[in-house]
Amino acid sequence: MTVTTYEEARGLDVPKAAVGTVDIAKVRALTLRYLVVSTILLGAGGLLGILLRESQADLDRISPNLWYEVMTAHGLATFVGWAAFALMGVTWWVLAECGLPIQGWGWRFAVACFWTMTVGATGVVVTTLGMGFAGSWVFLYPLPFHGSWSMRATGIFALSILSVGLSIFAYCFGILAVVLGDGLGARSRSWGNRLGCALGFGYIWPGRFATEQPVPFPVLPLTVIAIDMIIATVPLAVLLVEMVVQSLFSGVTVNPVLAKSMLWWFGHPVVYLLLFPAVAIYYHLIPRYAKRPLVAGHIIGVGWLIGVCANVVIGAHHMYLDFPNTFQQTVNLGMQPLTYAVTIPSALSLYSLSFTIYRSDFEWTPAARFLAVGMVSWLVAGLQGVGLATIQYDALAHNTLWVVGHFHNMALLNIGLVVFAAAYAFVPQLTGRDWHSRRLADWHLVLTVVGGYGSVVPWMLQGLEGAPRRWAVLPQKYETLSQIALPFVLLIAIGQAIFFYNLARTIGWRSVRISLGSRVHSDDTVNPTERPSEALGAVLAGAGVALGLLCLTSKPLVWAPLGILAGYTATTLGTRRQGWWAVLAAAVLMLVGLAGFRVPS
Amino acid sequence: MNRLMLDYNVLYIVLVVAGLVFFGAIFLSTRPAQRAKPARVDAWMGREVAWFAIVIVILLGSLAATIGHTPWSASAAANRQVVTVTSLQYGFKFSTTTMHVDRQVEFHLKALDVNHGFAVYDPGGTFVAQAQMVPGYDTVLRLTFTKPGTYVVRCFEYCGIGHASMVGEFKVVRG
Repeated sequence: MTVTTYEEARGLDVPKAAVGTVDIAKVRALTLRYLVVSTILLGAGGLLGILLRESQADLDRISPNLWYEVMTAHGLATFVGWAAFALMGVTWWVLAECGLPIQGWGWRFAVACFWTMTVGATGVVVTTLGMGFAGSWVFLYPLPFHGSWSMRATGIFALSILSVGLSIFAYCFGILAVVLGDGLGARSRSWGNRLGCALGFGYIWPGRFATEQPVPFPVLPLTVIAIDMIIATVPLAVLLVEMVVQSLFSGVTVNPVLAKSMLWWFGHPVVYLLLFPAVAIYYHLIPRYAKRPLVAGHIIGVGWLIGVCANVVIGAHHMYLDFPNTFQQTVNLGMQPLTYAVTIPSALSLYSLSFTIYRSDFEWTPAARFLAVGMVSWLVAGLQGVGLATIQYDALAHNTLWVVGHFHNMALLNIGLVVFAAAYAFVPQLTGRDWHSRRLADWHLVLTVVGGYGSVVPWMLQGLEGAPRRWAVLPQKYETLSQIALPFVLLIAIGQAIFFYNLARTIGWRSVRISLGSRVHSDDTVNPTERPSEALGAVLAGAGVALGLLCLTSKPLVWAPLGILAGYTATTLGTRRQGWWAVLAAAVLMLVGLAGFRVPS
Repeated sequence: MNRLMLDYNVLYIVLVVAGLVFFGAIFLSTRPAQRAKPARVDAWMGREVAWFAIVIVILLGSLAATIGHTPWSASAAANRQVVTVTSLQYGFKFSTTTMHVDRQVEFHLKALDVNHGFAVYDPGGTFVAQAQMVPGYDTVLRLTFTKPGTYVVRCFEYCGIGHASMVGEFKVVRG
């Protein structure tokens, strides 16, 4: 069955790039693989988050060592492993739907991005929960070398983050390979001119940056983040290499302020690694549901021009409270207007999206509802961000729980909702199957939003009272609000459980039937979910073995059951042999661990 | 609760309520009765330039109103008291723990191992001020205390598994 008939058979939109230019089935399978693996990481990271909150509320207090290990793993699993990873995957599909084929180097980078992120995420899990690394997900130098964990844990953790960095590089180069190709319709052959076209310069200078048709708006934020993240990630990669070397040779060190600057040079743009692809999805889907083009003129090109310049230099606003000399003070002063400037693309985007919806025949699908609530949260959390960009306010709120409330507001209730919206919008196109239940999608939204705000607001109130962040045990005066938040955390968890169930019923059961050899419908043979299911099975089998190996470091009765579960799940996803080997390996390693054997650290 | 922080949050809530009203109007406009009215998409596109100008003006106004208020902007008083604070996992060491009401204190903040945070709470538990303590650097923070009593200091930068136990205190006395 050809791609065209596959789409036609299900009445789906055919991506303009699909027919005759690219094997769209490959892009479909790859995107789905990103979504499934990132959703698994959401589940894992979410469970860790529940553990953090219940312990802080003194429901069942865990040790500070474990709390900080979990804190380190939670931040990376949810922020990078889930949100960034999912958005990376959806990027390829959005570009394909915009008429830009994912092929050649674009395809190679897209695949490399997936595997390097998977390796990095696995390394983070192993070094935090397995080897006790608890340097926090910002691993503020020189703390990784002054902890209760081993140098080996620090070195492997740094290598794992380096793998995540390579994934970001692959993502950025992949985007550039796609948008600089012929699909954009740029009339010039010059790379510089094509890059200008992809950045939306054609909306400002249409004669100089001419294209066959207007550049699709989602291309603008994706090109901006590709350029910015390449520039932002280089210093972090250098710092990580230094950390690996220092873990081997303790005499090698780096200046703490320089290290902090290198970290935050990356650390703020990486927030936009989530936000800008999310904006691309807004630009792509809102006009679809409103049934009219995005209400945006040439000024949006100006906005993104400001964005590409400001975004990459504002990381030092995380260092407003570092003012040991006049140079750093001057840098900090410059950060405030630059950080204000990076809000301009958001302000213009919210205007454009709002008036695209205004008085339109808006189709209130589950995805559209997620996007609408996400837009509201974008404003709510964005205004908080303007406050934190103001030195006078940040001097009071910095490192309080108010900041934790802010970024969960932005990451879960704006960007997270966009990730879910993308899943609800694209999974039918990726699998050829409609969602198992739209009603469950509505419950997912309600529980996530009610639980999310019920969880975020107590943090902000605690922050207003000066509650410090990253305290395993908060002073007693803050405990009541921690306990009030717990039921709302539970609501978030139930909401996500509903989503996992709905997703599994939509994409998974058929694959399970195929893997078990039961009779299937004839058109199952074209279902692209078979391939990602097998890939996922292989990943789970590998994870099962990795979890088994953790039995050789500590807690065999914790790791082995998880490894066995991962292996068994793999057996149901078309990778029976690998899955059973993983189950066996985890069981044997548990026995070895119980016998007292430990890898020396 | 810190008064300035409260003022910021009151303004924030006003803006959020205004935003909710705006989005409510936008979303409700998709009802059939509202959709029947003429849609002037070109006009909204044109007004985006005006919105851009409004955003620029608001941001410049906010910048002008706040940029002069930084934690390092207090100039040194002639009769200031100099206090050195050294931090080390997981405690603070003060050169003196007695300070005076209405007399400027110039804290010299130093870290011996990793980054720490120096966050001060007044005797009522209200947050007062903070600064980072960076290994190898001397950060100067000038504060003038108006209330007598015991002030608590908490570490405000994650510094290891004993972070939550890193607390210190000093006294502010009259005269």
